[in-house]
Amino acid sequence: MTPDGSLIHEITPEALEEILVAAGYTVEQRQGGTIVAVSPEQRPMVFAVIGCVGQVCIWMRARAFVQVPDDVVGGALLEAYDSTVPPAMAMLVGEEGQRLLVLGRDVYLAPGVTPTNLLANIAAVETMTANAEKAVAAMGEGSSQ
Amino acid sequence: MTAPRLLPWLALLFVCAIGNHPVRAEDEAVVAWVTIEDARAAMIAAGLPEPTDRTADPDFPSLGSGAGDKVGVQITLYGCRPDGRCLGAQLFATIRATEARFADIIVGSVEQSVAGFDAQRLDVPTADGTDYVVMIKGYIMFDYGVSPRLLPEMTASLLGIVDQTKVFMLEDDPSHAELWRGED
Repeated sequence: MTPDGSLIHEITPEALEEILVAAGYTVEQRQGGTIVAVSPEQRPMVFAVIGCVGQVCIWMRARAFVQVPDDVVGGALLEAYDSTVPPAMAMLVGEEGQRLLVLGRDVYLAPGVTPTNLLANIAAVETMTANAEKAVAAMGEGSSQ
Repeated sequence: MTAPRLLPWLALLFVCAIGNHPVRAEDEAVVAWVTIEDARAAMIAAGLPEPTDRTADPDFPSLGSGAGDKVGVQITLYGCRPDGRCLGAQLFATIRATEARFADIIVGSVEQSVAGFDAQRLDVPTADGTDYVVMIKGYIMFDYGVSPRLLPEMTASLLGIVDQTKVFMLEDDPSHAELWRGED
Protein backbone atom coordinates (compact mmCIF):
# COMPACT_ATOMS: atom_id res chain seq x y z
CA MET A 1 0.00 0.00 0.00
CA THR A 2 2.09 2.90 -1.20
CA PRO A 3 1.48 6.44 -0.01
CA ASP A 4 -0.93 8.25 -2.25
CA GLY A 5 -0.39 11.92 -1.79
CA SER A 6 -0.10 14.64 0.74
CA LEU A 7 -1.36 14.48 4.28
CA ILE A 8 -4.42 16.06 5.76
CA HIS A 9 -4.18 17.16 9.38
CA GLU A 10 -7.74 18.15 10.16
CA ILE A 11 -11.28 17.85 8.88
CA THR A 12 -14.55 19.75 8.94
CA PRO A 13 -18.05 18.23 8.94
CA GLU A 14 -18.52 19.53 5.39
CA ALA A 15 -15.27 17.97 4.20
CA LEU A 16 -16.17 14.62 5.75
CA GLU A 17 -19.55 14.73 4.04
CA GLU A 18 -17.87 15.45 0.71
CA ILE A 19 -15.45 12.56 1.20
CA LEU A 20 -18.30 10.19 2.03
CA VAL A 21 -20.43 11.26 -0.93
CA ALA A 22 -17.45 10.91 -3.27
CA ALA A 23 -16.93 7.37 -1.93
CA GLY A 24 -20.52 6.42 -2.72
CA TYR A 25 -22.17 6.94 0.66
CA THR A 26 -25.67 8.42 0.80
CA VAL A 27 -25.86 11.06 3.48
CA GLU A 28 -29.24 10.94 5.20
CA GLN A 29 -28.67 13.46 7.92
CA ARG A 30 -26.01 15.84 9.16
CA GLN A 31 -26.45 17.50 12.49
CA GLY A 32 -23.47 19.46 13.73
CA GLY A 33 -20.47 17.18 13.49
CA THR A 34 -22.47 13.97 13.24
CA ILE A 35 -23.41 12.40 9.92
CA VAL A 36 -25.78 9.50 9.36
CA ALA A 37 -25.07 7.82 6.04
CA VAL A 38 -25.81 4.62 4.18
CA SER A 39 -22.84 2.79 2.76
CA PRO A 40 -22.63 1.58 -0.84
CA GLU A 41 -23.39 -1.86 0.63
CA GLN A 42 -26.54 -0.40 2.19
CA ARG A 43 -25.36 -0.44 5.78
CA PRO A 44 -26.44 2.48 7.97
CA MET A 45 -23.41 4.05 9.59
CA VAL A 46 -22.75 7.00 11.84
CA PHE A 47 -19.77 9.27 11.33
CA ALA A 48 -18.55 12.11 13.49
CA VAL A 49 -15.82 14.66 13.60
CA ILE A 50 -14.52 15.17 17.11
CA GLY A 51 -11.73 17.02 18.89
CA CYS A 52 -12.88 20.26 17.31
CA VAL A 53 -11.88 23.86 17.70
CA GLY A 54 -14.72 25.63 15.98
CA GLN A 55 -15.43 23.68 12.80
CA VAL A 56 -11.91 22.28 12.49
CA CYS A 57 -11.55 18.81 13.95
CA ILE A 58 -8.70 16.35 14.37
CA TRP A 59 -10.51 13.02 14.85
CA MET A 60 -12.84 11.13 12.53
CA ARG A 61 -15.13 8.53 14.06
CA ALA A 62 -16.92 5.81 12.08
CA ARG A 63 -19.40 3.38 13.61
CA ALA A 64 -21.54 0.56 12.24
CA PHE A 65 -24.02 -1.70 13.97
CA VAL A 66 -25.01 -5.34 13.96
CA GLN A 67 -28.19 -6.56 15.63
CA VAL A 68 -27.52 -9.46 17.95
CA PRO A 69 -30.37 -11.90 18.55
CA ASP A 70 -31.21 -12.85 22.13
CA ASP A 71 -30.01 -16.41 21.59
CA VAL A 72 -26.45 -15.27 20.83
CA VAL A 73 -24.35 -14.86 23.95
CA GLY A 74 -22.91 -11.36 23.78
CA GLY A 75 -19.77 -12.03 25.77
CA ALA A 76 -18.89 -15.04 23.64
CA LEU A 77 -19.49 -13.01 20.51
CA LEU A 78 -17.20 -10.22 21.62
CA GLU A 79 -14.54 -12.68 22.69
CA ALA A 80 -14.70 -14.51 19.36
CA TYR A 81 -14.75 -11.27 17.47
CA ASP A 82 -11.81 -9.67 19.25
CA SER A 83 -9.70 -12.77 18.88
CA THR A 84 -10.28 -13.04 15.14
CA VAL A 85 -10.39 -9.41 14.05
CA PRO A 86 -7.90 -7.50 16.17
CA PRO A 87 -8.35 -4.00 14.74
CA ALA A 88 -11.88 -3.67 16.05
CA MET A 89 -13.49 -1.34 18.48
CA ALA A 90 -16.42 -3.47 19.55
CA MET A 91 -18.99 -2.96 22.25
CA LEU A 92 -22.30 -4.62 22.96
CA VAL A 93 -25.05 -2.24 23.99
CA GLY A 94 -28.75 -2.55 24.60
CA GLU A 95 -31.17 0.08 23.49
CA GLU A 96 -34.96 -0.14 23.48
CA GLY A 97 -34.82 -3.88 23.84
CA GLN A 98 -32.35 -4.32 21.02
CA ARG A 99 -28.91 -5.78 21.43
CA LEU A 100 -26.45 -4.06 19.14
CA LEU A 101 -22.83 -4.83 18.45
CA VAL A 102 -21.19 -1.47 17.77
CA LEU A 103 -18.12 -1.62 15.55
CA GLY A 104 -15.90 1.17 14.47
CA ARG A 105 -12.70 3.04 14.41
CA ASP A 106 -11.43 6.47 15.35
CA VAL A 107 -8.78 8.02 13.12
CA TYR A 108 -6.40 10.60 14.54
CA LEU A 109 -5.70 13.18 11.87
CA ALA A 110 -3.53 15.74 13.60
CA PRO A 111 -0.12 14.17 12.82
CA GLY A 112 -1.34 13.66 9.25
CA VAL A 113 -3.01 10.94 7.19
CA THR A 114 -3.69 10.69 3.49
CA PRO A 115 -7.30 11.00 2.34
CA THR A 116 -7.11 7.42 1.05
CA ASN A 117 -5.99 6.21 4.47
CA LEU A 118 -9.07 7.86 5.94
CA LEU A 119 -11.31 6.11 3.43
CA ALA A 120 -9.48 2.81 3.97
CA ASN A 121 -10.25 3.06 7.68
CA ILE A 122 -13.92 3.61 6.88
CA ALA A 123 -13.87 0.66 4.47
CA ALA A 124 -12.27 -1.45 7.19
CA VAL A 125 -15.25 -0.74 9.45
CA GLU A 126 -17.52 -2.08 6.72
CA THR A 127 -15.39 -5.19 6.40
CA MET A 128 -15.43 -5.71 10.15
CA THR A 129 -19.20 -5.29 10.14
CA ALA A 130 -19.67 -7.82 7.36
CA ASN A 131 -17.50 -10.28 9.28
CA ALA A 132 -19.46 -9.63 12.47
CA GLU A 133 -22.75 -10.23 10.67
CA LYS A 134 -21.43 -13.59 9.53
CA ALA A 135 -20.22 -14.42 13.06
CA VAL A 136 -23.59 -13.51 14.55
CA ALA A 137 -25.41 -15.59 11.96
CA ALA A 138 -23.13 -18.57 12.56
CA MET A 139 -23.51 -18.35 16.34
CA GLY A 140 -27.28 -18.03 15.99
CA GLU A 141 -27.36 -21.17 13.87
CA GLY A 142 -25.14 -22.96 16.37
CA SER A 143 -27.35 -22.10 19.31
CA SER A 144 -30.51 -23.21 17.52
CA GLN A 145 -29.19 -26.71 16.88
CA MET B 1 -20.24 8.87 34.21
CA THR B 2 -20.13 12.16 35.99
CA ALA B 3 -19.24 15.45 34.38
CA PRO B 4 -16.22 16.05 36.65
CA ARG B 5 -14.88 12.67 35.58
CA LEU B 6 -15.40 13.37 31.90
CA LEU B 7 -13.90 16.83 31.81
CA PRO B 8 -10.30 15.98 32.74
CA TRP B 9 -10.21 13.31 30.06
CA LEU B 10 -11.47 15.72 27.46
CA ALA B 11 -8.95 18.30 28.60
CA LEU B 12 -6.19 15.72 28.32
CA LEU B 13 -7.20 14.84 24.79
CA PHE B 14 -7.38 18.48 23.88
CA VAL B 15 -3.83 19.07 25.10
CA CYS B 16 -2.52 15.92 23.43
CA ALA B 17 -4.26 16.66 20.19
CA ILE B 18 -4.16 20.39 19.75
CA GLY B 19 -1.27 21.51 21.86
CA ASN B 20 1.63 20.22 19.82
CA HIS B 21 0.51 20.30 16.25
CA PRO B 22 1.95 23.12 14.29
CA VAL B 23 2.42 21.86 10.73
CA ARG B 24 6.14 21.26 10.32
CA ALA B 25 8.32 20.32 7.40
CA GLU B 26 8.50 16.70 8.55
CA ASP B 27 4.71 16.54 8.37
CA GLU B 28 5.11 16.11 4.65
CA ALA B 29 6.89 12.78 5.18
CA VAL B 30 4.51 9.88 4.58
CA VAL B 31 4.95 6.25 5.61
CA ALA B 32 2.73 3.37 4.54
CA TRP B 33 4.02 0.75 6.94
CA VAL B 34 5.44 0.30 10.42
CA THR B 35 8.26 -1.87 11.69
CA ILE B 36 9.06 -3.29 15.10
CA GLU B 37 11.89 -0.78 15.35
CA ASP B 38 9.38 2.04 14.84
CA ALA B 39 7.35 0.57 17.69
CA ARG B 40 10.45 0.34 19.88
CA ALA B 41 11.35 3.96 19.13
CA ALA B 42 7.80 5.11 19.93
CA MET B 43 7.82 3.31 23.29
CA ILE B 44 11.22 4.65 24.25
CA ALA B 45 10.24 8.17 23.19
CA ALA B 46 7.18 7.85 25.43
CA GLY B 47 9.47 7.06 28.35
CA LEU B 48 8.81 3.34 28.60
CA PRO B 49 11.79 1.32 29.81
CA GLU B 50 13.41 -1.52 27.88
CA PRO B 51 10.70 -2.78 25.52
CA THR B 52 11.06 -6.53 25.07
CA ASP B 53 9.74 -9.05 22.56
CA ARG B 54 6.45 -10.58 23.68
CA THR B 55 5.51 -13.01 20.93
CA ALA B 56 8.60 -14.13 19.00
CA ASP B 57 6.15 -14.40 16.12
CA PRO B 58 7.20 -12.71 12.87
CA ASP B 59 3.57 -12.56 11.75
CA PHE B 60 2.56 -10.59 14.82
CA PRO B 61 5.72 -9.00 16.24
CA SER B 62 5.08 -7.44 19.61
CA LEU B 63 6.94 -5.34 22.16
CA GLY B 64 5.99 -4.94 25.79
CA SER B 65 7.09 -2.74 28.64
CA GLY B 66 5.92 -1.52 32.00
CA ALA B 67 4.67 1.96 32.84
CA GLY B 68 5.05 1.52 36.60
CA ASP B 69 2.42 0.41 39.12
CA LYS B 70 2.22 -2.93 37.28
CA VAL B 71 0.73 -1.23 34.23
CA GLY B 72 1.58 -3.21 31.12
CA VAL B 73 1.99 -1.52 27.75
CA GLN B 74 2.28 -3.42 24.49
CA ILE B 75 2.42 -2.67 20.78
CA THR B 76 1.56 -5.52 18.42
CA LEU B 77 1.93 -5.24 14.66
CA TYR B 78 -0.35 -6.85 12.06
CA GLY B 79 -0.29 -7.50 8.35
CA CYS B 80 3.45 -8.05 8.30
CA ARG B 81 5.55 -8.91 5.26
CA PRO B 82 8.69 -11.03 5.38
CA ASP B 83 10.81 -7.87 5.26
CA GLY B 84 9.32 -6.72 8.56
CA ARG B 85 7.06 -4.02 7.13
CA CYS B 86 3.60 -4.17 8.68
CA LEU B 87 0.31 -2.43 7.83
CA GLY B 88 -1.19 -2.05 11.30
CA ALA B 89 -0.29 -1.48 14.92
CA GLN B 90 -2.41 -2.13 17.96
CA LEU B 91 -1.55 -0.41 21.23
CA PHE B 92 -2.58 -1.93 24.56
CA ALA B 93 -2.33 -0.90 28.18
CA THR B 94 -3.49 -3.03 31.10
CA ILE B 95 -4.26 -1.76 34.60
CA ARG B 96 -5.35 -3.98 37.48
CA ALA B 97 -8.49 -3.12 39.42
CA THR B 98 -9.30 -4.16 42.97
CA GLU B 99 -12.85 -5.17 42.08
CA ALA B 100 -14.83 -6.00 38.98
CA ARG B 101 -17.21 -3.08 39.58
CA PHE B 102 -14.35 -0.58 39.59
CA ALA B 103 -13.05 -2.04 36.35
CA ASP B 104 -16.53 -1.71 34.86
CA ILE B 105 -16.80 1.94 35.91
CA ILE B 106 -13.50 2.76 34.23
CA VAL B 107 -14.29 0.79 31.09
CA GLY B 108 -17.56 2.66 30.76
CA SER B 109 -15.84 6.00 31.23
CA VAL B 110 -13.16 5.31 28.64
CA GLU B 111 -15.68 3.97 26.14
CA GLN B 112 -17.80 7.08 26.42
CA SER B 113 -15.23 9.83 26.68
CA VAL B 114 -11.92 8.87 25.10
CA ALA B 115 -11.54 9.15 21.34
CA GLY B 116 -9.37 6.65 19.57
CA PHE B 117 -9.15 4.08 22.32
CA ASP B 118 -11.39 1.18 23.21
CA ALA B 119 -11.65 -0.39 26.67
CA GLN B 120 -12.73 -3.73 28.03
CA ARG B 121 -12.56 -5.67 31.27
CA LEU B 122 -10.47 -8.81 31.33
CA ASP B 123 -11.02 -11.39 34.04
CA VAL B 124 -7.78 -13.27 34.55
CA PRO B 125 -7.95 -16.44 36.63
CA THR B 126 -5.19 -16.74 39.20
CA ALA B 127 -4.23 -19.21 41.89
CA ASP B 128 -5.92 -16.97 44.47
CA GLY B 129 -9.03 -16.12 42.50
CA THR B 130 -9.46 -13.60 39.69
CA ASP B 131 -7.58 -10.51 38.64
CA TYR B 132 -9.81 -7.80 37.19
CA VAL B 133 -7.93 -5.92 34.53
CA VAL B 134 -8.86 -2.82 32.54
CA MET B 135 -7.46 -3.08 29.04
CA ILE B 136 -7.29 0.11 26.95
CA LYS B 137 -6.42 -0.33 23.29
CA GLY B 138 -6.16 1.62 20.09
CA TYR B 139 -5.42 0.78 16.49
CA ILE B 140 -3.51 2.51 13.72
CA MET B 141 -3.81 1.57 10.06
CA PHE B 142 -0.87 2.58 7.90
CA ASP B 143 -2.26 1.58 4.49
CA TYR B 144 -1.93 4.35 1.90
CA GLY B 145 0.08 6.62 4.12
CA VAL B 146 0.21 8.40 7.45
CA SER B 147 2.65 10.70 9.18
CA PRO B 148 5.58 8.98 10.91
CA ARG B 149 4.53 10.98 13.98
CA LEU B 150 1.24 9.08 14.30
CA LEU B 151 2.54 6.05 16.22
CA PRO B 152 4.69 8.03 18.70
CA GLU B 153 1.85 10.46 19.39
CA MET B 154 -0.72 7.70 19.86
CA THR B 155 1.68 5.91 22.22
CA ALA B 156 2.12 9.08 24.25
CA SER B 157 -1.66 9.61 24.27
CA LEU B 158 -2.18 6.08 25.57
CA LEU B 159 0.19 6.72 28.46
CA GLY B 160 -1.61 9.99 29.22
CA ILE B 161 -4.92 8.14 29.33
CA VAL B 162 -3.35 5.51 31.60
CA ASP B 163 -2.20 8.22 34.03
CA GLN B 164 -5.66 9.80 34.09
CA THR B 165 -7.28 6.40 34.49
CA LYS B 166 -5.11 5.64 37.50
CA VAL B 167 -6.19 8.89 39.13
CA PHE B 168 -9.84 7.96 38.66
CA MET B 169 -9.25 4.45 39.96
CA LEU B 170 -7.57 5.79 43.09
CA GLU B 171 -10.55 8.08 43.63
CA ASP B 172 -12.89 5.11 43.30
CA ASP B 173 -10.87 2.95 45.69
CA PRO B 174 -7.67 4.17 47.37
CA SER B 175 -6.59 0.56 47.94
CA HIS B 176 -5.67 0.41 44.27
CA ALA B 177 -2.36 1.89 45.43
CA GLU B 178 -1.66 -1.22 47.50
CA LEU B 179 -2.65 -3.49 44.62
CA TRP B 180 -0.32 -1.72 42.21
CA ARG B 181 2.62 -1.44 44.53
CA GLY B 182 2.33 -4.61 46.58
CA GLU B 183 3.87 -8.02 46.03
CA ASP B 184 2.21 -10.39 43.54
